[in-house]
Amino acid sequence: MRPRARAPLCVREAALEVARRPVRSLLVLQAIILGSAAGIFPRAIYRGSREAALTRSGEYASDRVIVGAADGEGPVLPSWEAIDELLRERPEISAAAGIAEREIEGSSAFLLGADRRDLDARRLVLRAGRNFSEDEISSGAPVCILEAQAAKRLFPSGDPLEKTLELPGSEPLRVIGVLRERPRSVLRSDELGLDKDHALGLFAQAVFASLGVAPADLAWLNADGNVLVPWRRLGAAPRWLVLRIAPERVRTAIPDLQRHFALRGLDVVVYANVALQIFTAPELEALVSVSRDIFLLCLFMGVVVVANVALLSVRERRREIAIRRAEGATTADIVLQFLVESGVFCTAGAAIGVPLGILLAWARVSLDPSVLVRWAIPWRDVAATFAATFAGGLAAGIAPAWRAARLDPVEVFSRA
Amino acid sequence: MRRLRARILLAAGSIRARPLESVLMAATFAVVFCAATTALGLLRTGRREIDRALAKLGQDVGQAVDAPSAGRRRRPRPSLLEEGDAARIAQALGGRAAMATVALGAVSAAGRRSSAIVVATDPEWREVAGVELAAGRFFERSERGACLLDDILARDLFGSAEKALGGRVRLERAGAAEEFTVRGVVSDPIFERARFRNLDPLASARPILLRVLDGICAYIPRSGIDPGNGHSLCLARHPASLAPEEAVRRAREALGERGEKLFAWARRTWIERLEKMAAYGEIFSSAVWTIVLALALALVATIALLAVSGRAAEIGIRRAEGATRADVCAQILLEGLAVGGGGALLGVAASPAVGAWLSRNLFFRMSLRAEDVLLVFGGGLLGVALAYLAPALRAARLEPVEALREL
Repeated sequence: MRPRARAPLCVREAALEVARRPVRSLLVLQAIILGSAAGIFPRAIYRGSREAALTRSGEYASDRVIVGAADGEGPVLPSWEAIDELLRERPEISAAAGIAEREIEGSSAFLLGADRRDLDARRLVLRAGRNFSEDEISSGAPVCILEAQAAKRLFPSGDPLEKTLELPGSEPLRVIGVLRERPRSVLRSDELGLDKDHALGLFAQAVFASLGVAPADLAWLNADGNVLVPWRRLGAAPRWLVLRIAPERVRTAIPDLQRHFALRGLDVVVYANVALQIFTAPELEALVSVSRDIFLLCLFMGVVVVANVALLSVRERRREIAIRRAEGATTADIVLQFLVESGVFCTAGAAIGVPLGILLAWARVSLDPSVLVRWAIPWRDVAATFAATFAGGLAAGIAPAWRAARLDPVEVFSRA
Repeated sequence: MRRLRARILLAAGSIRARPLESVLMAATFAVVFCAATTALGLLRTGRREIDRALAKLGQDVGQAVDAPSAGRRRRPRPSLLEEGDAARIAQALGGRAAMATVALGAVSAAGRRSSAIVVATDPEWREVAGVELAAGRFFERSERGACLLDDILARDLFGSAEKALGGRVRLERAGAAEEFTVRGVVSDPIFERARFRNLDPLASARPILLRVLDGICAYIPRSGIDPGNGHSLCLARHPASLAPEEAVRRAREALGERGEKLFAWARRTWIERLEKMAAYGEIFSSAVWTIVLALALALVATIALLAVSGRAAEIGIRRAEGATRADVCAQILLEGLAVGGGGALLGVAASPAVGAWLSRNLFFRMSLRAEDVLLVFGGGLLGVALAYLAPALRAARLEPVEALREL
């Protein structure tokens, strides 16, 4: 067998070395393992969360911004007509709807006063029937649209369309539309993008409260059993505004919104997905790059350690090297063998560290109550990690390769 | 003493005889010590910066507001706070107090616009709030047309604090507008917050009265623009010896019945909560650092064992020449300490540069203190000695006959 054809065997030998001495290999490779994990973990979360925020806004309500009066009680705007002015002045808002709410007696659901834009602004889809007409809105006609759970609860036996709905404290309403069920992820997501059902949701709310943000009175937001009526039926100005803004523009739109209201003497609070605002901030890229710096430092450490261990192992393997030289391997073959073995050995560290980083990302996402914090495999960074560790391994193999190449097989055999 | 000298010379000779191994071993120690020192430096510096910023927020400051942060009230309603309340509260606390009206507004200058928290107040605010000036001065009581800007706001509008001085700004609120001249710029107490302000996603969800520390305030005399339905607050500074709960109680008492309806809180309670969170973070990070360091020492022990096991023949010859087990043990330990010590010096010396490189994207610059360096150096050398102990004892136990079979 020609010595050069043994190159694939170097790869196998390096992999087997990890398997033969797992504890020692893990100890030697710990810097590379930890560095790879530290490099991949934040990138996985960053990539997954940004992807979820920007491409799946309907699923996670990442394009939803809610505006309310700062004191939590008063109207957000003096009139429903003011919403048109807002849309004219703020072109980044693709849809806007006002909401006035009233609890339905004997129920946890709400009567929501809305206008025609409500369905578009809140991404509500009709399963049957139609939206309000302009006449119905302007006259406050006794019609209503049922959310999915309201239709099931109030009309369990059949189709509610065109039927009459009688609610306590309200005159009879004719059902003109029924909405589809909203995605569970949207129903679970509160005004700040926290999962209401998450085990750590309360903890997150406590942290937010300590930072000055108390939960808003938005019980209607996450219910799917509300009844929509033309806003005139409630005779109240809009208490909330629900806006749809492209996720990548939410962060910059919020200060402009507050300025718009401030110029009109209105103090408002603006709620938007917290995670979205963080993951679309340009500063986050700089912070995430710290993980790359840590990876590079750990890689350097790992290379030095692997070089040290490989150099010491040359003495253990002197007979093997002498036999290979006797079989006809050249100096170049010996050097290549040690370089490839070091490269593959270090890459084995990345092969352990990268999945570890993904696992850490998965664990972190599971612990985070924000609906938008997701993970995804950052393929480019994974490829770069493997390439860098292999290159580092090659560098680590230089000293041992040089030492091994200088071994005299005659001297080795004469001592045997 | 002669024996020790001989052992030292032997160890030095052994190191010189294997230059490549010795250099790589020293490099290994250097990276381990560098990493340990840098990690400790970053942790400690970060904690110091957080503590420093929190202290600057004013541990002895409290505020009374007539609009609870998360409460409910019917609008409109006249403010519960009256003129003269600042003096009453100051007397009750034995400190100083200042009144202010706070509202959200829009500020523009030099073609740029920004949102701003408009704080209409008196010159006493400077001392009560512990304001430090980055440039200029605070306005006088009757100085109409003067204003101060927070540093972040000044940079947004003018590019820098110095350029903002003397500049003209237009404040707009509720349909009213007025022009002011910037007389001073207020330093931001919270390190390099300007670089990371976009990472505060909760700013817009906080009520205006809790945004006075957001760093985007424009301060004007109370005789200035009428901010419409702004919120009144009284900021007070009490003696450090007064407990925050007692300060709040005295402030309420000073205002009688109105005090019961007001929302009063002391910053120290909030700051202590933040300090506790920072402390938990530090404990967790320190635990991780300790575990990783322990793994690094285990690695060093593994390499040392590997190094010694390859020198069985040399040790056998030394024993055959008359060296005792103690001599062999001492030689290995001294070699380890010499190489480890050299590597440690290199690593610790390189740590400031590595820390500066790592912290360029963080909100602080790493600084090392003598006690941190001594901790890592001293503890590290002890760890090196422990790591080399097992290999040294193993080498000392080698019988010359067995060792010489390696030849």
